[in-house]
Amino acid sequence: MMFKILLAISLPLSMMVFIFSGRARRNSIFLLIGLVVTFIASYVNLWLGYLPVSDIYYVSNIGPIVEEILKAIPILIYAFIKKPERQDLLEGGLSVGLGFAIIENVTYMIRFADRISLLAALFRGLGAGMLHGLTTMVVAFGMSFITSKKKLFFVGTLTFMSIAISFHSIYNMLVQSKFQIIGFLIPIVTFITILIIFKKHSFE
Amino acid sequence: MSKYFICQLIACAIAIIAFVYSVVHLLKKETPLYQRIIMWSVGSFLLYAIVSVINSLVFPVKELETNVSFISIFGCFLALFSANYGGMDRVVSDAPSGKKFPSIIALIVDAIFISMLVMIYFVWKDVQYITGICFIISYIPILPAVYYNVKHLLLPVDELEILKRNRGINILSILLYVSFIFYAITLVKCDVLLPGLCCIVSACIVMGIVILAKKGIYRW
Repeated sequence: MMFKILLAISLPLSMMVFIFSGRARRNSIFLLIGLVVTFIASYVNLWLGYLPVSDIYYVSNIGPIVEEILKAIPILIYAFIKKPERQDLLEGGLSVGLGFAIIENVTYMIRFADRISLLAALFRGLGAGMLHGLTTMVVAFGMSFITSKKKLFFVGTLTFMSIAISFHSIYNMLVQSKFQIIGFLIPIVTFITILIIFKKHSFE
Repeated sequence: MSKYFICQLIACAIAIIAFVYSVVHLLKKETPLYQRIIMWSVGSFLLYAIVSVINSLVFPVKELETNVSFISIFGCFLALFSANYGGMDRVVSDAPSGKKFPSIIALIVDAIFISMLVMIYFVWKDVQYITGICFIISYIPILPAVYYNVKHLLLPVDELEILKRNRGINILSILLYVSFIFYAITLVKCDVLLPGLCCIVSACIVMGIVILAKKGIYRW
């Protein structure tokens, strides 16, 4: 089922690659990569699902590690090969994360559509979308030192990867609990806060 | 509410204050890289505190269970290492004579910390082996971090004013590592109040680091 969903969504979106140019093309390629990464993550999670842990434990602790590492790989390859500017890396990270969130949300809605209210779908769409976009952007920020301060590249990437994994884990724990609304609101509030801070300050 | 959970809540509250303080005072264009990296480490510590609290809140309280908070604390120590290695060591590397002695002492201190990590392994191996291994892996960044903290503490300060400014941060960083190692050992051996107090002490030390980092900017 996942592969059919991937085809149905990625094929129309792939037309952007042929029409857009420059930055828009690059970001649409990253969006498509994000869609593919979800597909790969679903198989990795399926394989690791045989570990002797409860589903809740897996979703809260192991799932975030798997997903954040897989999402970071395309950005890491881009950072090594092209050594891009920070803004380009952040846009790429956001695009991969959003692509990931698209497939994840669609799969979730197909499975639970009859049980989910419109409000829940809204929160799920915004919350999961901003979470994945934000966490990959955070990791991309850590990788942005590859051009400016090479000594910080490795530790920066790992530090921000750990931040992204922890944030993702907090979200997953909360949305499985009775504090679901707080879970959905956290990435939305964080995203808006970071956007305001980024507009106010420019980072070198 | 268990005593341990109350201690986690207090530590989390202190961590939130420390992070907000660091964002207000350190998140500026003119802030040196060293202080910005300190801010990242405080952010990582805050996430560690939040993950610990939420884990206790959402799931049945299992103090000995592994969870993602290990990754957060790994990030915190890694950031403290990178502050000294990436942010500070290139300034210091132009430096003074007599660099060998601080490096040798730093290596000896590293050896002491390695023995502490080995102690963590022996304390945990018969209780919950995996959790012990997770503690050790997440504490590995302490080793390079403490090396640079000790080295920068011992380098002659009259030749590099900046080393004098950061003395307090280096001392508090070392105390932070010790408090976390103490936490890992007491979690198995003692009543949960002692590891809970370690959480609070760690949060207070992080608050101290942030305050000193802010003071350091104006003297940079």
